[in-house]
Amino acid sequence: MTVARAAGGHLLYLLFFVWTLFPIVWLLLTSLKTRLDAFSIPPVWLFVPTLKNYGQILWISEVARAFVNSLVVSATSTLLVLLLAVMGGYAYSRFEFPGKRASAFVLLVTRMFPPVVIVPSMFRLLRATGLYDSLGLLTLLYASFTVSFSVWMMKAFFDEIPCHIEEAALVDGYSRPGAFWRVTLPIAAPGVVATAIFTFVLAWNEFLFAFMFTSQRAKTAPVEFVGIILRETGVEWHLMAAGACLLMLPTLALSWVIHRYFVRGLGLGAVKG
Amino acid sequence: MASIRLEGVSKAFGAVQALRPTSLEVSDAEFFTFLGPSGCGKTTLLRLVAGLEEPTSGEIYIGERCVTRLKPKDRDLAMVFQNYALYPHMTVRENLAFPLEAKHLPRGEIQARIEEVARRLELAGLLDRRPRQLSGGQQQRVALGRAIVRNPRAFLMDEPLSNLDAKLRIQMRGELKRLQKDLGITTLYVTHDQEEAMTMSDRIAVLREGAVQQCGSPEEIYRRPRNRWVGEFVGTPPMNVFEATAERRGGAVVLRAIAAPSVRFPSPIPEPPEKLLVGIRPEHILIHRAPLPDALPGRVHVVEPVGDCSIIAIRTDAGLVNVKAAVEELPEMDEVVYLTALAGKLHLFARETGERIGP
Repeated sequence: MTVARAAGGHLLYLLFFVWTLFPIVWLLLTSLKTRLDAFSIPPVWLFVPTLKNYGQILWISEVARAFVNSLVVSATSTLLVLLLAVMGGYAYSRFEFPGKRASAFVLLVTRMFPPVVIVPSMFRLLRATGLYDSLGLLTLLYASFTVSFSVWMMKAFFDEIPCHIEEAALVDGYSRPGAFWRVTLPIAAPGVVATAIFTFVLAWNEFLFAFMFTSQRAKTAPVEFVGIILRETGVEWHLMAAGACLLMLPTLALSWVIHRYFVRGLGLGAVKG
Repeated sequence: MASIRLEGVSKAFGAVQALRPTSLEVSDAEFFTFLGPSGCGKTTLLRLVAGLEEPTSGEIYIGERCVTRLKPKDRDLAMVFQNYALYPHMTVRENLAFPLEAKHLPRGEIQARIEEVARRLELAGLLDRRPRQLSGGQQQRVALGRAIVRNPRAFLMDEPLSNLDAKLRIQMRGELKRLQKDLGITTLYVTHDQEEAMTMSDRIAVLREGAVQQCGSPEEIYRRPRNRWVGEFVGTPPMNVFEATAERRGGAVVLRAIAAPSVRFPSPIPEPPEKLLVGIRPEHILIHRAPLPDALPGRVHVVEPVGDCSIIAIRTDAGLVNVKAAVEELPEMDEVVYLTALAGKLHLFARETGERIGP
C-alpha cells in the first residue's frame, strides 16, 4: 500500500514535470534544428543539432538592437525602482506618518488594474507629446508599474530586521543614515537583490506597452520576435525558437542568483525578534 | 564615567502614559537597577536615557550636560539589548570594532582595544565567527564586549541575562557585577527578576504602572518596603498581608487579625490607625506542631523543599499563608500546624492607600 502510494506520488511529480518542462524543451530542440527539420511533419526527434540559428538571428540588425534596448530599459528601470523601493519600503517599515495606511493601500491598489486599461489614453497622450517610441518613456512606464509592488516587497524585508539592531547602531555612534547604510541595508541585501531581479524580469518580459508604444527605435526583444513570426517569407519557427531561448537566458541566470540569495536570506539566523 | 540625573521625565505614547513624571539621580560608578513587572515603564525609562525615545516632559542630564535633545550617537552611552542586537552580517571582531569606527579611532588602537576586550571576556577564539555561529552565552558576551570596548560614560542594560539558561544566568550575574566594579562605569540596569536586582545593584528603583514606587538599596527595599505592593513584589514567596484592627489593652496596643481574631501581635508603633494591613515575610513566621496561645492554626496545603529551606503554604482563617523555613522534619500535607510571627518583624500599611505606616 505504502509502495503503491509512493509510486503514485512519483508519477504525479513526473507528469507535472513533463507538463511544465515540455514547452521549454521543445523550444530548445527547435532552436537547434535546421529550417527543414523544424518544419517536418511528423516532428523529428533525432537530428543533427546546429547553432546556426543563434548566429543568424543575432546577425539581424533589428534583433541585436532590440536586445540592447531591452537591456537598457530593464536595467535603468530596475535602478530607478530600487532607489524608490528601498527608500519607500524603509519609510513604510520604520516610520509613522500621516496617511501611511491609506497611501500604502493606494500603492497596492494600482497593481490591481490590468495595464491594458491605460493603453488607449496613454497612446493619444504619447502621440501628442512626442514621447512615443522612446526608451525613456518605456523606462518610466516600467518603473511606475513595478514600483508599487517593489515598495511592498522591500517593506516586508525591512520588517524582518528587528529595530533593536538598528537602534544598537544609533547608540554605537551612528546617525540614522549611517546606521541604515552600515547595518540595515547590508542585512536587507538579499531583499534588495530579490526586488531587483523581480523588477528586471518584469521589465525584460514586458510585451504590451512595448508593443503599443514603440515602432522602430525603442522596440524591445519580445516585440521584435513577434515580428519574426510574421515575416513575408513565412513563419521562421527555428529562428524564433533561438530568439526565445536567448530571451530566456537572463531570466534563467537571474533565477539562479535569486535562489542563492533567498537561501542566504533564510540563513541570517542570529537575528532574533 | 558620569552621574545620570532625571528631572520630571515623563513619556506618553498617545493616550497611554508609559512613564509618569520621574526624578532621580544615579551617582557616578553606581550600579542602579529599574525593577518592575512587564509594562511598568522600566524599558521606556532606559530608552529615554539612551535617546531612542523623546520624553514628553522633563530633562535628562549625563554628568552636568543636558542631553534631552541630543541624538543617541552624541550621548556617548553603550547599550546591551535583551536580544543582544548583534550585527548578523559582521564577524565578532567587526561587531566589536563597529562603535570604535564611528569614533574614527586609528586602526592600531581599534585592534588593541578589541584584543583587550577579547582577553577580558574570553572571546579571543571567536573573533572571526559570525553571531549565528555562537551560543547564547557567547552572543551575550559579545554584546557586553561591544559595550565596554568603547569606554562609554555609562552602560545601559535591558534585561541582558533574560535569554540565558538558569545556570549561566547566575554565573553571568556575578561576572557582570565584578566587571562593572572593575571598570567603575555608571550602569543603568533593567530587569523584572528581583533576585537579579537584589544581588547586583547598589540601588534599586521599583516601578509600577509608570511610577517609581520606591528607590533605595536592596536591603532597604526588602526590609522597609514603602508600600504593600513593593512588599509583595520583592521577595519570594511574596509577603503575607492581612487586614487587622488595633486595640488598646491596658497600656499596650494590640493588633488583631480580622479574619482570625485569636491571633494577636503587640503593635510595633504606639499609635496605629484603628484598621490597617499587617505584612509578614514568609521567613519571619515560625511553624509549631503543638498549639500555642495567640498562634494561628492552619492546615498544610503544599510543601516545596528548595534544598537549604522549604516553602510551605498553609491554609488558615486569614487565607493562604506562605512560610519559608529550614525545618528539619517537614510537616505532611494536610497536617494541622500553628503559626506565630517573629516579634519586631511586622510591616504595617495603611488600609486604604497601602502606604507604609511603620515601624
